[in-house]
Amino acid sequence: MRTGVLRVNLHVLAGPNFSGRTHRLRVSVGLPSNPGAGPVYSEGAYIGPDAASAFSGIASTVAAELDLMAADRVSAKRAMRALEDLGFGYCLGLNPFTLSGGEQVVAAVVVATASGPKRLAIDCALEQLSADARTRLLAYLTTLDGHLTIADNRLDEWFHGREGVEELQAQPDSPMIHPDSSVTSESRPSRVEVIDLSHSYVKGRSVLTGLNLIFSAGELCRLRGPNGSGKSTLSKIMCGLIKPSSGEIRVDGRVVKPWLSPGKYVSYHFQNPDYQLFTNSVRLQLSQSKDPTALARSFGLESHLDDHPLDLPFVLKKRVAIASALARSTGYLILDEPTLGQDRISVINQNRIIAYGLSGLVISHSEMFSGLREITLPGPPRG
Amino acid sequence: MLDLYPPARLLSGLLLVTAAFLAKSRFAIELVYIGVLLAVWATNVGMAHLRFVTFISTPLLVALLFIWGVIAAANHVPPPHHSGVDYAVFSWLRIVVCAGALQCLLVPLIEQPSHLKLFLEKSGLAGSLGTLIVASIIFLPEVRRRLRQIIDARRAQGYSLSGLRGIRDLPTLLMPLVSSLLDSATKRAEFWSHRGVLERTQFKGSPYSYSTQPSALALVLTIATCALGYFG
Repeated sequence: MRTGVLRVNLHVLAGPNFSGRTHRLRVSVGLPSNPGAGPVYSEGAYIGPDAASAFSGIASTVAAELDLMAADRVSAKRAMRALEDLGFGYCLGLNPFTLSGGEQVVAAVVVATASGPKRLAIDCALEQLSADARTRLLAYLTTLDGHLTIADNRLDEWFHGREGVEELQAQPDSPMIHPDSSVTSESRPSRVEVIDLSHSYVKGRSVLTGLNLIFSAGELCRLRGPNGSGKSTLSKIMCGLIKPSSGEIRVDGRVVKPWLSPGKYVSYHFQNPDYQLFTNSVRLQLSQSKDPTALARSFGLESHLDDHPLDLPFVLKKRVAIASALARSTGYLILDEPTLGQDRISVINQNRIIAYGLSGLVISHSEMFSGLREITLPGPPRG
Repeated sequence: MLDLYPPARLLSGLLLVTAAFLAKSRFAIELVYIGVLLAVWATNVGMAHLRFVTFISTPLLVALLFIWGVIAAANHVPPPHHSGVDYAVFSWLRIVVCAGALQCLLVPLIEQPSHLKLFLEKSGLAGSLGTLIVASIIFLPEVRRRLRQIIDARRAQGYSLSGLRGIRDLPTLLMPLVSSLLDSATKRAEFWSHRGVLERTQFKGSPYSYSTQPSALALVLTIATCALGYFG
């Protein structure tokens, strides 16, 4: 099926964090190295890890975004058909900013291709997609014309060729994660049970239906499911941010109502680190830990202890947010896409830290969590 | 929710706000408020309006009653109406009418920026100007959306944000909000300039459908409410 206006000339940037991938990608589509560095205009499109930044912000639905951004009416219709073929047709009627991370990536990429760019750069955005969605999206992209440049931390999971690959090296003093067994969760792990849980945001459109799950104390599990299957909704219910339509939550055998005191029984680390950094320095952000310096050192943040967390690059902000979640003392921790933007070595080391005595749930599409017990939610119930 | 035409929505909202200021007596403003309540019911924003009346406007009513019923009376300041209490209720109803009209008729228009942009373009306004107007309006829902996510993140860390604790925690919440808004503004400006959003003046086809009869009915009812308010 030929759904777009381009036929792709693929260029892959392989390299760790701090190897200048983002700079290369931005420059390849005519953007300056850093956002806000100057006015630009080109026929390229850039989609970064925060795919929401690739929407105009003036369209109330994905269909309206396509209508605004597509090169012509035919391209808009082709892109709508492509979204449906990719299994994300239901997103057309939804607000781009209310979609899940993976849905935003697919919608942003399809909208970008509809605008007829000569160059398209995708910077670590595909990590938010399930393996199936990523395969389908890549198949769609390879049918297009033009230049496609991709940087991804999970290249080994989907790219096996050598042609068109450029290896980049990290800067010599780039901050590395050092797993340290003295940095462990300081709380007593809890056993959490989800009993007959159902939830719907809109009447008649269930996100979760009759869900029964048991998370043992001291066990790290992985929550999987296609994009839009309700993983974040389940996490928010367990944390107490949402009151479910029906069902109950038990912590250590006791029925609790987490929505009456959110964050008391279960902590939740959000996908976007920008919204969870509330202090003026990294040191203060980690102050709930018994040894903030050791925790910072293990996450490669020792030289940033007095920096403002919001001034750090995305990768380091993500590390600060995860470290501060570990510093909190609740019996159960949910980590939503903890590997986003982190290179392979960082993820391996970070996973070692997370695994030290933690009772928790990891939401991730990365195959690097394949050793954990898996809980899979069914596909998006859009009925 | 009723799919009113954007011009009908805009005009009805503005007429109801005007009626709130044209009404001369308490009976007249009460009539206008009944009209607003009908619009609130028809557009399905009853809960939002109830929350506004309960948590925001009721403390305001208490303050107005105290000012006009106690302080002004004690100082022998003649109220514009025959009693201070009457004037306090009259002023409060004006505010509630304006808020109700905004909630049911204008806020949905602001929250659907592409509808507003299309309406402005069809009204003959240059596409880039329409985009800039919409861009300044979408700031409000964006602030609300981000604040909600920041509040969720704070609550997930075990902080209760209700009551005095919530007020004390407000500066803490503002820091990530302001920072993310500035960051988003920079990224969006870059996106617009990079992808030529301002030059994209025409929508290729309207994906929206509006109901003609409810739009006409809303306008007739609004005009009738205004007339009742003014002459009633």
